[in-house]
Order: sequence, then C-alpha cells, then structure tokens
Amino acid sequence: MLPKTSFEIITEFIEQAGFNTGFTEINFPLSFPDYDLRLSAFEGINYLLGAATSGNKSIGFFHSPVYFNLRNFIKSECIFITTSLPENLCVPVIFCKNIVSFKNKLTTAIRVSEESRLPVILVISESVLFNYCEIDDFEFDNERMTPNTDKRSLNMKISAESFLDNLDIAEALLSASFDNNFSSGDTISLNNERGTFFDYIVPNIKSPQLESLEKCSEIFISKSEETFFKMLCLHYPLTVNYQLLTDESEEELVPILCPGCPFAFIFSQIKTEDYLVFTDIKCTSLSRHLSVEIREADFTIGLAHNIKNKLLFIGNVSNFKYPLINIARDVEIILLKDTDTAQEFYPEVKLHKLHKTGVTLPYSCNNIKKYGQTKISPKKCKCLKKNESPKCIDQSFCPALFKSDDIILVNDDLCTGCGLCKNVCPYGAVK
Amino acid sequence: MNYCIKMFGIHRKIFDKIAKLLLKTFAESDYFVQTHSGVPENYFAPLKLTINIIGSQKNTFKYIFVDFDNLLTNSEAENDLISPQKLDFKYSPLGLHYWAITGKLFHVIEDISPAYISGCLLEEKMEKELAYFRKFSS
Repeated sequence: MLPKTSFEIITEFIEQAGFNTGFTEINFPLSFPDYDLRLSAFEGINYLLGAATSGNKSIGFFHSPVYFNLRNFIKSECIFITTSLPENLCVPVIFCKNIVSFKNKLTTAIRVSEESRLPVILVISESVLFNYCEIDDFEFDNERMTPNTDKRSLNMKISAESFLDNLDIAEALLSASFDNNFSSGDTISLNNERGTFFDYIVPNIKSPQLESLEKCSEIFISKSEETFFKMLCLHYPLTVNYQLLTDESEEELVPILCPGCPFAFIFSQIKTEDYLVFTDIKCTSLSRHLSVEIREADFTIGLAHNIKNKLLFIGNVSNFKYPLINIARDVEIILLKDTDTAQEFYPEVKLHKLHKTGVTLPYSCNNIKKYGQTKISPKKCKCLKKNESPKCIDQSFCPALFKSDDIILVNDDLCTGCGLCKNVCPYGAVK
Repeated sequence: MNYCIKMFGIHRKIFDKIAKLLLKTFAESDYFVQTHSGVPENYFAPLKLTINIIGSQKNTFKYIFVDFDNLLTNSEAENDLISPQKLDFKYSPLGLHYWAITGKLFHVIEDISPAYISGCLLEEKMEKELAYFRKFSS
C-alpha cells in the first residue's frame, strides 16, 4: 500500500464519516469545491453550527482561528478543522502536530463531538496539511439521523451546569485517549519540526497534560506561538516558565503567483509606488511579493477618510458589502468578479481604470479557469539572448513559464491562457 | 547513515507520486522515515517536503536538496543540490525531468534500490518516465 496525501485522507474521512454539510474558508490551501460557499469565516461557523443543531453532520476548514458562542447543544457531529491556534477557548480543542497521528485525531474528534454534543475544533499543524502517510481505511458506524428542528428545541438554551457537564464528558473521553505529559526542557510547538505539543485542551478543565506543564522548571516555545501560551496561562490559570525559540528561516524560493493573478496584471498597469494597496483576499503571496496589505474593506475605507495618501482596495465582488459604497469616497476600488451569478460591479463605486485590455482575469482564486493556450515564438523570445531578465516571468510571477537555455518554455498543464505574459512581453514573442 | 532530503516542486501531481514512491522505497529499505512539510503560499506555489531517513543511531544528517524546478534562490545548498540546472538537464514541460532527478537521488543515498519505482512505472506503462528514471539511477 502506498502512502496517502493529507487531501486523500481528509476526503476519505469526509466520505466514510458521512458528513453532509461542509464549508471552506476562502483561500484555504486545500480545495474542496463543494464546500466553497464564498462566506466569511464568521458566517461559515454560524452556518455549520446551524446545520449541526438540526442534526446534519458538519465539517469546516479554516485558516483563521475559530471562536463562537454556543447557544444550543448540537444533534449531530460538528468538526472545525483549522491551521490557526485558538485565541480564546469555547469548546474542546484537539491538536494534531504530526501526520502519523492524523487519523487518530480525526476519529477522536468525531467521537468526542458525538458523545459530548459539542462542536470540536481540530487544530492541525502546517506540516499535516500537505504531507503523506500510510494509513488503513476509516471505519465508522454510519448511522445518520433525519435533521429536524422545532421552537422548543431552539429555545432550550445551554445552562452553565449542563455545559460544564458536557465538557466533563469530553475531558473523560480525551484523557482516556491521550496520556502524554510534558517534561522540563521540552520544546512545545505546533509548527516547529522538533518537539511535542498538546494533544487536547478542554475549556475550564485542567487536564493532566496541562498540570504536567506547570511542573516543568523550563520549557521552550516558538515565538510565533507565544500569544496562544499567554491565552492558556490566563484562561486556566497556569504558571509556566518558558524560553522563546526564534522561528527557523525557510529556504528562499522564486516568487510564484497563481496563473493570471489579477494582482500581477493590476501591478503591471499602475504606478504602485503612488499607492498604498489593500485587499481582503487572504493570500500570503500578495503581502510577501507585492507588498499588499491584507485588511478588510471596511477598515481600508475608514483608514482612507480625510487623508492625503492614495489608497487602492482590491477585493472580490462577492465579499464587498453594498452599504460601504456610500462611504468609500477617498479610496479607489477594484472589485474582481469572482462569482458566476449575475452580480455585477457596483456602478456607484469609483472604479480604477485599467488601460490595456486583452487580459482575462480569473473569477476566483478558488476556481481558476482555463481560457486557452499560450505559445512562445523562439525567434522573437529575446530577453535571455540579450542577457536581460525575462519580463514575462518577472512581472507575471506565472508558474507555467520556465527558462530553458536561451528561451522561455510554457508548461501547458499549468498555463491558463490568461494573456498576462503576452501583455508584458516587450518583443511580442507570446501568442 | 541518516539523510535529510528537502524536496521542492511545482508539478503537484508528479511531486505527490514521486513522494509516495520514495517514502515506500525508504521504508522498504529498513530506514526509519519521518516527514515534515510546509503550507504552500498559494494554490500554485511549490510544494515543500522534508524527509528524514534514519539508518544509524548517530544524530547527524547528510542534507540533500532536491529542487525539481530550479526554484531555490539561495546558494547555500549548492554542494548538496540536485536540480535540472545542476544536472544540465533541460526542463521538460511534461515533467520528465522530475524522474531524471529522482533517479539521481539513488546515486546519493546508500542501500536503496530503484526496483520498486521501476516496477511501478513499468506497470503503469509510463515508458518515457521510466527511461529517464533508469538513465539517471543506473
């Protein structure tokens, strides 16, 4: 048997466990097209809680921290999978640091949610999301209830006592499944390759693992995870002596954006030094390679009030709230049409005009379409022959273009035919 | 001997296939295998995978950088690097260079056999890939 990818493991888990409601936060690194609902993380959480309250098995994927106020016990299992450590505690949280324990953590999460009637958050490390592991098939007893709701059950709010009782059920199940303790000198980090991490935490209940943490004379934690530890110390409360580890530097790779990324096109068309550019599209590449500030539209519009700087906001039309139009006077806005529904650009918004045409922008980061095929004329392809840096690669950041000897080659599988490279080639070599 | 293999590649399908085959090969060669990966920046950004294969109790590792698409920009890895540029191997839009580089890996790591990967490629009738893999692994 060959190892499976994380994506294959998750897909199998969803199928075997019989989840019938799902949600993926926009730009979550793994793509689940059926769960791409174009909702914010907050809206997605509420959608899944509603579905689980009426008895639908629900699963969501987030790269933001997950937090909510639970108003009703759920009738069916609800799992929130996220790559962010919690900023607050509301329900049991299970952590998965290594791919080898992924199957166990997934099955435990579903069992705890079923028994405790609470949603469960499963925090997975970056290493778990794109990894490989040899695992057996999942086996679940697939009893599915018929979802239903009525006023009486909705009005049955959770009392403090019953909530604590259900947290006790979760703690009992989790402490029976995991019994690892910490020792002095341990590195405790979710994303650092070395060391160990919590198996789980339950709000208001100090687990044996947390107690062992207090007994350590010194532990080492990652600088990027310090906020999480501070939150734990306040919540339980805990006294922990820790030293900070600086996060290890990664190998530097050539910058790459998605093919036809509208940001690459916009940046090739405007004098970017004149603008402060903002977006609510949570893509790390945009902030790293194009110095785009990732902020919400409402924040950007507020920031722009009565200031002299030129601000440009680029966002998806599906995520732009209509009432903002009335106050968006001091900011230029580009909205990307990311939906196939009839929603059009809002005519009242002051739109930034792009002068060149002939470029097809993808509708959505989650759904990049293929428009055609690009061909490069070897005779006209002159940048490398003249010892110049190739404009098509430098300005499009396209994954489909590669240097080979003194010409540029196109990878047909990755090329979407967006035309961006054609637009920036000074020698007219791209067809 | 212990090895720390750091792999980088853009062709996600081929990368996945090679990673799975390598992990199986290492495990079958009685190495203890650990993997660690990172989240790509976007849907097309390169995949990164670190495979630690442990064959001795010594706590030292020989580093090998497998750069399938000439993606690394820092030169620190130069001595331990396997890449199309380093092998003077032309980039293939079909991803054939991935198989050549994988083949080369079998020259660097002790006590592993290319038979499992050859068998799989033969069974799946991936003749071109097999030819490149064999050329560089033998």
